[in-house]
Amino acid sequence: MMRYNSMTRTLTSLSARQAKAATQALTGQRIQTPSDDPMASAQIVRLRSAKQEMTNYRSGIDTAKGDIDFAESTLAQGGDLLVRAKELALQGSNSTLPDDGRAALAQEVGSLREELVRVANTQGSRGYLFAGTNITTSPFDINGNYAGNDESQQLEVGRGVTVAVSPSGVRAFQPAGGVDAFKALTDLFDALNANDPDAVRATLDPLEKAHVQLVTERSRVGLTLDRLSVADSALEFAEGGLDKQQNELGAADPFEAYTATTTLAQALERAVAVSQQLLNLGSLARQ
Amino acid sequence: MAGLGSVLNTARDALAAQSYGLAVTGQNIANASTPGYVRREAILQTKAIGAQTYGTVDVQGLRRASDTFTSRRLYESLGLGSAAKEHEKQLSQVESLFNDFQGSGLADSIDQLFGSFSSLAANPSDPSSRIGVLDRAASFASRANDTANALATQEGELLQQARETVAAVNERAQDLARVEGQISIARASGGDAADLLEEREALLRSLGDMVDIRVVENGDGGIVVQGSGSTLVEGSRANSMSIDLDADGKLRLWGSTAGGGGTEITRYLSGGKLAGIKETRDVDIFTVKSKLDDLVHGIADAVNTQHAAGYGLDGATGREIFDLSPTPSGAARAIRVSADVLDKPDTIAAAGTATSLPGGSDNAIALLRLGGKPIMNGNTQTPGVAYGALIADVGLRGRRAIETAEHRDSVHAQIENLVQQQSGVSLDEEMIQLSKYQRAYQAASKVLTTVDQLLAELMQAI
Repeated sequence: MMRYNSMTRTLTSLSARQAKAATQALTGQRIQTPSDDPMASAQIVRLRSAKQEMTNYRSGIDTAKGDIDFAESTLAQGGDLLVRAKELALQGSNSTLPDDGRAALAQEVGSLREELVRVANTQGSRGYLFAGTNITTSPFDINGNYAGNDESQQLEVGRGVTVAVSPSGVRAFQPAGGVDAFKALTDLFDALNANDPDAVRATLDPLEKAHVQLVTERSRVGLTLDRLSVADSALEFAEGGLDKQQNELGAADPFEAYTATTTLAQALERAVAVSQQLLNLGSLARQ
Repeated sequence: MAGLGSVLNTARDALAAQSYGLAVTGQNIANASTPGYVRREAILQTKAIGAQTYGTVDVQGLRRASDTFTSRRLYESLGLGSAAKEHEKQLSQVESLFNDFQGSGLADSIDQLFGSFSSLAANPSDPSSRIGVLDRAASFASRANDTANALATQEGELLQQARETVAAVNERAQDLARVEGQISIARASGGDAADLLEEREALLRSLGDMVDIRVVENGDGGIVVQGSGSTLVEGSRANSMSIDLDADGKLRLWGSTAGGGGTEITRYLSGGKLAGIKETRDVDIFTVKSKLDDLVHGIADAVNTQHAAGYGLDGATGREIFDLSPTPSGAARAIRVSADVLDKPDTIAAAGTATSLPGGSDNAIALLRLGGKPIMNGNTQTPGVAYGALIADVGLRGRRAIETAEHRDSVHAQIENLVQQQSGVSLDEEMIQLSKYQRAYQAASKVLTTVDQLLAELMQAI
């Protein structure tokens, strides 16, 4: 009887080991339950949570990038408007210009100002671009009065690293940034209407400043975009590293898994064959 | 010198003895695969009548090839083996609750909770990111509830199993006492009681599978059986065991004494299924449950505190996301999303100040930073690290249980083999015995015929 018992034990244990090896080969995962390798399991859980963190940062960057891109092109548009205003101011300051010429220029300046208000009230995916954090109210009224605030929207791009991702409406268009862009246009408009070349000439300097101010904000936004791109590629790289680590810890070596499965299957076959022979060996009982 | 008549007697005795040997061999062969059967041997010896030597044979009875020392070790290894096996089986169930490799564990819901704060920070005024936070908070709470409930269910099932096991132990003890009574009656009337001893052996094995037993022979062939140090069976009298719970909800085992009172024997419980059940329930599940509570409470408490510091879209502050017990105990089962914020996405406090509403995300950032901050276990571990430690703990418990079970199983198998060598039926050997008795029987018949012929010749000659 003894050998039957040990035969059964051998067969059971072999077939359990073979089943385990087959699962590993099949799933490509070395670890099926935490007890397969407790320490590696803990590490895999940690790595996965770290990777999730990276993914979160990256999706935040992705959301923010769209708006920042948009803000940059919007500011570029605003800059163009101010360049045109400067050209009109130069023409208007020319004392040889006929009187009705200034009135015509004034009309264009008026529409430029409306256009600038529209630009400053542009909405991105997260609300008004230049409203600070007061993103649900349009920041500029028709006269260019500011209803937004000077807070900036922050984005976490890495553990403890935040980037201010909203362009500043205050710095771009308001006296706090240097001059009031809307007032400069209004002054030009008024001076042209008043048919006063000297007054028109006096608006050239504030207009230039307003333009510089807008360009400066635009380049700031461009820098933010760069920072986000750099952060994103750093995160992508780190994510790849985590993937690799996790793979090294958790994945079954395909060759090893295949070899183990085959070897154990053969061992099992042999054990079955031997058992069969032993069972046939009721030698004396046959006689 | 004996006459022909006495040779006839010798032949008669020989026939009886050899056929007894055949019968015993037959029994052995019949029970070749009966678990616990002990091989029997016919004891034959020469018969002396007075001072004369007639050389005839006498059947002395049966011998069971068993060894007290080996069977004591057998019961011990049986108890330890089945304790470890039960422990392993139960722990694999605990482990399946923490199986994060299938993407359904608590780890994912923790990661997703902090992930939802990340989307909130990126887009604080977007209603969908606020709904996302509420949704993730609810799934974190319900995942914690599910895990804790499953642990509690298993704990309850184990208590039930412990009760059933103790009831079965008491039943076996009764059976054993009955068999013991029959054995002593059989012995008193001169029988060998071999079949009853077989039954006793089978009962002892089934008892040893459930609880650690010690079997002591009391000299006159009877036995005293101790279960976890308390006398279960003595002669034809059986005592019983009982269990209850102490103030902490842990199992206590009591042994009844002859006088009727009970003694607590919990600390002597060392083997059998009962020990495996107690170990899983009172040590592993107990610890895992409290670690889970600590984890859930730690995360939820930190999230609550940070969330209360921020401002919702309605400008109000001081609201918590989770309803949470003040202490960690039972937190994982009880945690819910607070009614203050449930189904009210506007109440999610993404902004750090009232003035930065509605686009401010300082508090959302602070919330998401909690995911990477050492807020757990006395501010030493981040939530991810703490959860990893819990997984490692559960895994190590499982690993140790598997290794112990393997080790004890192989020890038990060795002892079982030893017992088999001593007591097991070897068919080959029995076949040899069979032919031996058969030939001897045939020879005895031959003796009989020969003597008969001689006597016949004698009769004719006269």
